[in-house]
Amino acid sequence: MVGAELLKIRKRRLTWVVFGVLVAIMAFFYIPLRLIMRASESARPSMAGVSQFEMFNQSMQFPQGYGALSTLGVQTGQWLLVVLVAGLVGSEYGWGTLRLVLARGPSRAGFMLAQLIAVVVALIVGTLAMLVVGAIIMPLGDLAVGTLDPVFPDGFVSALALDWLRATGALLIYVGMAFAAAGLTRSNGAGLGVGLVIIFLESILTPIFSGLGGFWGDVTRFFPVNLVRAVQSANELSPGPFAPRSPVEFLDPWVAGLVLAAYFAVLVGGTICVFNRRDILGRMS
Amino acid sequence: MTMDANGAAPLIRLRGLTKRFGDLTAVDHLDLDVMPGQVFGFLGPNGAGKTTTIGMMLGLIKPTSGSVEVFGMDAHRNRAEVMRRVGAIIETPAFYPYLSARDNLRLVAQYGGRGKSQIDEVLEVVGLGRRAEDKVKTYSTGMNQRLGLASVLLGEPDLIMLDEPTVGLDPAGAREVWDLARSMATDHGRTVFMSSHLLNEIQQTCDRVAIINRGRTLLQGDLDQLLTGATGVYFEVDRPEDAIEILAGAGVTASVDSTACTVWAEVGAERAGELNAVLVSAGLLVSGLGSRKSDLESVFLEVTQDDDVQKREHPSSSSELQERARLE
Repeated sequence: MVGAELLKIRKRRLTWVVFGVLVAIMAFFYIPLRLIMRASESARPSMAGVSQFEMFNQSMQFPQGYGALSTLGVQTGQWLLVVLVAGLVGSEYGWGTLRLVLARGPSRAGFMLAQLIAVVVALIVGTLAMLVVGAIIMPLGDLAVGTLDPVFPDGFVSALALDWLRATGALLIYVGMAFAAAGLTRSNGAGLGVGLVIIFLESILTPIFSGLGGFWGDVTRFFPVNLVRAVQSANELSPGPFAPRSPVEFLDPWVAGLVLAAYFAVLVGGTICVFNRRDILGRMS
Repeated sequence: MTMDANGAAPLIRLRGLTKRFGDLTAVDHLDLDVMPGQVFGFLGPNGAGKTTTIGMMLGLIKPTSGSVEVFGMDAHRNRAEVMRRVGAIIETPAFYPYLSARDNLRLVAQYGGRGKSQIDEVLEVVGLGRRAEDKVKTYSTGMNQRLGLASVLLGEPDLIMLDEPTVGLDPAGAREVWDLARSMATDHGRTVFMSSHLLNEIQQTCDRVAIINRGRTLLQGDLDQLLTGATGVYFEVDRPEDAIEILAGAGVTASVDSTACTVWAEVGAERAGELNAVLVSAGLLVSGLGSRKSDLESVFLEVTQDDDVQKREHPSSSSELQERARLE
């Protein structure tokens, strides 16, 4: 069944549109933005004799720029992932294809798990592909601004592997969120809306609750966005200009990872429980 | 357990099957037996509960109460085992619009764990061989319906369930579906369960029928027997009301039809001459007479209209009582 789900993801245009948007955003930061900053370099004040362009450029150069790629990838990828997963899960209701699938006899839980596993496989493939994309756009950007000089520091590969693992693992919470939102609302649009509103709300509520301090300040530490940042705070490669400027004191990365795993389990488990008890009727929208 | 004359147990056995959605009772203590090798017609007006019943048989909808046995097994407890032997389409079949017909059937085969090697064959059977690589979103409703039939045939199921299988098909396409359904039973020994509100479709195709209304079985039996038991003789007379009285005196139940000049007598054609003589000798002018073997439509209308009248006179649920109060 996982093979069938992967076929659906691979052949769907939405998948490639989402991936293309992610690549385009990354490429923008690594090539045109650096060119723009270099062109306006003289107009910007320097800090301690280092111009803003130089500071930005250093953190975007190949291969150090992978630190920024990892952080920026999560910050952008969370939105796109919600779009992709809500689309995959919600369309089964919108098109009425759930009945086609379930009338063939697979267990409901098995079908949902196959869908989830396929999305996770797609996420892993996508984030690995972003490493390859990074290996292309970073040197291209370096060439464009004339600073191509790749130097691989000691332990770079293991640091990159750990950063990638944290980024991919952290993104799972957004998979779970969109999976639950689309599965529980039985709608592509509603799932997408709920998922995006949650991401939006936590970015607004974080500074407000932090400002209140005390209990509310502590609550913000358990927002998914701050847990993801806590996990990524253990990254060895510098996120450069994309380091989160959060007023929150993050949890320990391991604790944050465990809380995220618990959220994921509750979201997925709850959705599958509801799905198991639900009547599968016709098209929902 | 119910058995037919040959001692075969029912392939499908529903007992007291009930489904409520809030206050609405969609299926109400439904009993049904479908024997192996039959083409079984499941008839009912729109909203009678046909699709809900099929949904419960396929494990898509959980019954409120009652039992569904398919192949002698509880269809919900042994769902995977049962569904391995069933091919089904429910209402207008839905497919992934961005995939080709072949890819859609590949998915269907993967989910069911059977039939992958038959994809090309079934596409040819339903006449979609040349459009196999086209995306389903470019298909017409009729082509979609054909693809639904192709998906049902994958894996050579023992039981084929078709819910309104000819919706969107032209007459020639509908005829092909009827022939296919018949051939599945007669040539391949499969059982076909077919729901429809198209009486002609059922009459052309099925061996046995059940008529349901408001979720309840109103009538169930072999098609031949149902039609044989519903014959009539008509008389075109100058004084219909007098004719009814005269016929009643001869022990015959009769009624006036909607044109108000034809009297229908509930007797076999062999009594037409005798009753004509009775009417003429009583001084009535008989300008025409004939007999008609009733078709499924008249049987259907008779039982469903009787049921509707009964329901109006004896509402049972609180919602029906409220509806009646509102109307009054």
